[in-house]
Amino acid sequence: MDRTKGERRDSIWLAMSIRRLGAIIRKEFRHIRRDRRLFFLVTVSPAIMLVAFAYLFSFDTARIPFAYYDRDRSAESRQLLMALATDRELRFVGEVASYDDLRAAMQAGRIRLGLVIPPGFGADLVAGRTTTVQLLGDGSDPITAAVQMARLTGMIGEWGQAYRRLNPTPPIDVRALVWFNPFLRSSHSMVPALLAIVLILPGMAVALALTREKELGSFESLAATPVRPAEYILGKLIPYLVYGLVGAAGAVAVALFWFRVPLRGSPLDLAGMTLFYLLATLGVITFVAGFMATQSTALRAVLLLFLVPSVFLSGILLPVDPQTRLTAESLPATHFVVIARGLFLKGQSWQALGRPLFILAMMALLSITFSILTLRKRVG
Amino acid sequence: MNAVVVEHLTKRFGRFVAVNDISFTVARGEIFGFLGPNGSGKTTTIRMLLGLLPPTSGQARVLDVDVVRHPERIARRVGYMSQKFSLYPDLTVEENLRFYGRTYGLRGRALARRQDEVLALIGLEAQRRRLTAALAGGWKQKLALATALLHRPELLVLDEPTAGVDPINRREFWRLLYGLAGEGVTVFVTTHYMDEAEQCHRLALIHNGVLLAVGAPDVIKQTHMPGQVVEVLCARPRVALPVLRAADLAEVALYGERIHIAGPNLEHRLDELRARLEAAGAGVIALRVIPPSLEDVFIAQTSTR
Repeated sequence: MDRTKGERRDSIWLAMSIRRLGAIIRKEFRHIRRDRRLFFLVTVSPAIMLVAFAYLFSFDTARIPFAYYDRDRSAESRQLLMALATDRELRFVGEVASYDDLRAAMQAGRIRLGLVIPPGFGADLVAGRTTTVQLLGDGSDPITAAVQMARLTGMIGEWGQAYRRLNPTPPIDVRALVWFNPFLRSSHSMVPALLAIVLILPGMAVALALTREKELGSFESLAATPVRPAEYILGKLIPYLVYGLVGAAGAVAVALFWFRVPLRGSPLDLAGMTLFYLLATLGVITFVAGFMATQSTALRAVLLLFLVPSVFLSGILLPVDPQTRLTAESLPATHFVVIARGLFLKGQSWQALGRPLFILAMMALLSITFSILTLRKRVG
Repeated sequence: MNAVVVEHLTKRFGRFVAVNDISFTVARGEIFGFLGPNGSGKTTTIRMLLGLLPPTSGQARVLDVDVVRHPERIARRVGYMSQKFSLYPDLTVEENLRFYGRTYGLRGRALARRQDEVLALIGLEAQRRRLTAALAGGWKQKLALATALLHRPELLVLDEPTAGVDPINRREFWRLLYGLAGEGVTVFVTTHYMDEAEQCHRLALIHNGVLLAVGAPDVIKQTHMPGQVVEVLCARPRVALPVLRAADLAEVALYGERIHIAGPNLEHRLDELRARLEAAGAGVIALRVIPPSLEDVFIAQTSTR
C-alpha cells in the first residue's frame, strides 16, 4: 500500500474550477431565496435582534421609579424637584413622609431611587453655603443603581451650579467632562457593539446550510462528483456573505435611524470592516460546522461557542476581563466590538483600527483555508 | 474486459470489520447485484469503489483506475445514486439536473440537450418545472437515476435504488436498468430484495462483511445450496412447525401457509417426515422437492457460518 501517494493529492485540493464554483453559488442563492426561514435569518433578523438586544442591554431606556422625602419644603427644594421631574428617565412615584416609608417603598420594589432633602437646604443655598442632599439607590440591581445615581448626581450638581450662577457665590467646583459620549448614553456605546452579536446570525445560517446538506445526503452525492472542497466551501460562503452584507446594512440602518447613534467614521470603512468581520465569523463557524453531522448540533455549537460567549466576553457589557482575555480574543466579535465603537463613537480611521482588522483578516484566511483542508470529501 | 476488479478488499472501523477480505469482478455491460441485509457492508464497499472511503487493505480497480491511489480520477466516469434520496427538494426537477450537470462540467446547449434526453428516458418531461419535493416517490428515484446518467457514465453505481418504492415503479426502474445495460453501461446495484437479485446477470451475496457466493443467480442456487429444499403444505402449519423444528433439519421457515425445509438428502426422508407430521395431526397435503430460491440459499449460507 502506497499511502504517501494518496496523501500528496491533498496539495491539489485547493485547486478549483470557476464553472463548478459558479454552479454551487447559484444553487446556494436559490436555497436561501426559497427557504423563508433562512432568508429571514440572514437578511432581516440582524436588524430585529439589534432592536431587541439594545433594549435588553441598555440601561438608559427604562424609566426608573423615583420618590423623594422633602424635609425642607422650601422654594429651593421645590425648584430642584421640579427640575428632576422634567427628566425623561425618571418616573415620579410621589412624595413620602419619612425615611421608613422610603425604605419600605424600595423594599417593595415600588421605587428604585430615592432623594432626601435635609432641613435647611434652601437656607444654605441662599446663604451660599455648601449643602448636601442624599441619594438612595437599590443595590439589588447595581448597574442601574450606579448609572442612575451617577446621572442624578450630575443633574443635581448642574442644577446647583445654575442656581449659583443666578445667585453668585464662590463654590468649589469639579467639572467632569466625558468625551465621545457626553451624556453617557449607554445605547450609543451598546448599539454599535451589538452589531458584532447580530452579525453572527448569517454564520448560524451557513452552519445550518452545511449540515442540512449532510442530513439530506446530497453531501455524499456531491462527494462522488468532480466538485472539489475549495469549490464547495467557497460556493457556500459567498452567497451567505452577500446576504450577510444585506443583513448588516439593515442593522446599521436601525442603529443610525432608530437609535440615532452617530456614525463619526467613514461609512466606507464601516462597510469594508463589516465585510472582514462577516468573512471571519462565516469562516470560523464553517470550520466548526465541518465537524458536525446534524443541523441541531450545529445550531447548539454556534449558540454555545459563539453567540453566548460573544455577548458576555467580548467587551460589550463590561470591559474584557483579564481572566477571560484569551477566550475573548479568540472570538471574532471581540475585535469587531473595538472596530464598531471606534468607528461610530470616536470616528477612528481604519489605520487606527489596524490591530483588530488584521486579526479579523487572519481569522478569515486561516479558518477558510482549514475548512477547505479538513472538509471530509471522503465520506464515512 | 472487467469494469470492476476487487481483490482482498478490507475496511475496518476500529475493531469492527465492515468489509472482510472480499474479491470479485464485474464485467462491462452487465448488471451486477450486491445482495445482503442492512449493515452487511454493501454501502461501505460502494464508498470504497467510488474513492470516497480509503480501504484498510486490498485493491480496487474501477474502469482501470486504481481508486485506492487515485480516488479523484473516477468521479467523472461513474454515476452514483446514494441510498438516501439526495436531490434538493427546494429546487425544481430542471434545476437539480442543471446543477448536477454543471458539476460534471456540462453547460449550455450540450447540457440542455442531455437534460432533455434523460428526462425523456424516464418520462418526466411534463414535470420538469415542478419542485422536486412535490414528486411522488417512484418519480424521485427515477429522477435521481436520470441525474446520475447526465454525464454518460460508463459505470452506474446504485445503492438500494428501489428501497421503499412500490412494486410497479420497481419494475419500471428495472426496465430502465436493462435498457442501460443494453447500451453498454455497467450497472452495480445493491439490494435486499430477492426478486431484484434474481434479475441481475451476476450476483454477490454478502453477509457481515463476508462474501458468501458470487455468480449468476441460477449457478449460485445450484452450487451453494447444501441439500434440497422441500415445500410442505399442510392443513395446520402451526402444528407442523414444532414437529419439523424437532426433526434435525438445516432450515425450517414459514412462508405464509407454506413451510420450506432444507437439509442434506431430504429426498430420502420424505416418508419419515410425512409420518411424523401425520402422527402430530398436521394434516399433510403435500411434500415436494422444489428448486431453491435465492432466499433459501441465503438463509442456508448464513446459518452454516
